[in-house]
Amino acid sequence: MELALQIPAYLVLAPFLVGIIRKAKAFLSCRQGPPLRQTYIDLFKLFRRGIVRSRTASWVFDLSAPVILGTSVVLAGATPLFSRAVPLPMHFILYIYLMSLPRFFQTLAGLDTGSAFGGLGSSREATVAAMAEPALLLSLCGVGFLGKSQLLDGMLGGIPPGRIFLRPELILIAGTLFLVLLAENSRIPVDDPATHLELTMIHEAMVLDHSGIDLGMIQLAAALRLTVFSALITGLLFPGSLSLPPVLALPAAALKIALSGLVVGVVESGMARMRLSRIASFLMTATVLAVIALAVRFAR
Amino acid sequence: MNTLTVLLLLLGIHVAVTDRIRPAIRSLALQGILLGFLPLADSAGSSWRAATLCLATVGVKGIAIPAILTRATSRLGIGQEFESLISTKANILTTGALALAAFLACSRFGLSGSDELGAAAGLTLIFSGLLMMTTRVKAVSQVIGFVVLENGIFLFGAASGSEFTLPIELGIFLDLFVAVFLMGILMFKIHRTFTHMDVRKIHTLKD
Repeated sequence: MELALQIPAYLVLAPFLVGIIRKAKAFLSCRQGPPLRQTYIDLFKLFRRGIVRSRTASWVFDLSAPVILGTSVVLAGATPLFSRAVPLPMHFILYIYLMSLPRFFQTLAGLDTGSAFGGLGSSREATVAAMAEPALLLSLCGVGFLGKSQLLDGMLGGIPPGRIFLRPELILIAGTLFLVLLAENSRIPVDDPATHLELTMIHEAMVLDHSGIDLGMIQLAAALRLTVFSALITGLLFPGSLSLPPVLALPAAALKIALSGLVVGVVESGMARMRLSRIASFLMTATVLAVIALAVRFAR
Repeated sequence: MNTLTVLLLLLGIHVAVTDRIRPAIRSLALQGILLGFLPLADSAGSSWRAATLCLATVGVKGIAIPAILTRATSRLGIGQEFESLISTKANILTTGALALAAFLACSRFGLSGSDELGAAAGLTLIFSGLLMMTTRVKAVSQVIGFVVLENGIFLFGAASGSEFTLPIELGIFLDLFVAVFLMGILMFKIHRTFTHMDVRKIHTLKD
């Protein structure tokens, strides 16, 4: 029962998370902000629209949006949200590969349209992604050592319960994953999801030529990806939330996601976008944090 | 205890990799204050000894030295930027590699006593302080590197469990305080004479 509910829960919570982030940012800049249901309305609107296609685009462009959404759904099936068991148990290396598969198709689709912006965004996205990879790999290795498993659900479920403030390696890994979350989901210190200024945009530049249902799928996939990362981090910080009774499990999951949305919103409001050349330092810091987390884990 | 040690380590790394001087001094002050609570958390010593040490550490490393450094930077009109011989990226990677080397050294060669994490964190601070002293070109950041190095020695000493007597530890504090104080005055004199603080240019001095 819980297994069948997990992917639908992710699909419902993903636009909710984006709405929470927008609400938090609006609140911190003393605005009203769009209502929480606005993200759902936007998605429904996009799903009812037709597609306008570039004349130079090939089958790769047509394939990209379904592949991106499909992979994100698979990732959602592998990440524990409200119980230790997941519908799709997955080795963590495969998980990391599946995380970069949508990006691969996204960059290809960006190049495929023949617009200058697409290529520009693709090149930047590939750069950021290549530098975020080691940090993600090392921190998931760290989780694996803590949870004594190579399966993603096993490693998150296997983390021994205990007070979080007495376990520095867990906090370090969660911090690393948060930096990776900001980089991989085009959030503010790395990329600004709300800008369409051609000098700075990364993710938005790639999806400029997508429209209608394709754009809807890509936006839903991006929201899902953010939710998956949030579930990963909050699962690390609150290991007890994965073994709650079924009645409490879903509200707890929604609470976790809302909490991470608030944190992302606060970080986005408090920071300015970094120069592109400084992103490398940002992600190297994340990698060094992951290395230190691993070292701390073994210094016992 | 472990969380405190890792916090000290992270603050040291922040000091080593940041390229702005004010946040570095702030982190240094916080590190000094946290370092003061280390003898309290470690309940082995007698309580008045731990309390005196705590007070001395917080007073010297948490308040006095950062105050002197802040005063020096504002009086000398030193800008926001640290200047380093190596780039920020190389700095981050080198610091990470040094941290890894310190942890490896502690586990391989048995450098540590009971608290391996504390010893490794202390060694990392020593390494990154040395790195700062050798690669930074401004005198103020070299002094910051020196204080980080000293904090590393303190942490390493506390972790390896060798007990100094109280007079010796207080003497070390006095030494450090006087050293930073003198360096502050010296920096001011150098600045007044040469109107810059770039140590690379001092090599060109001849009589």
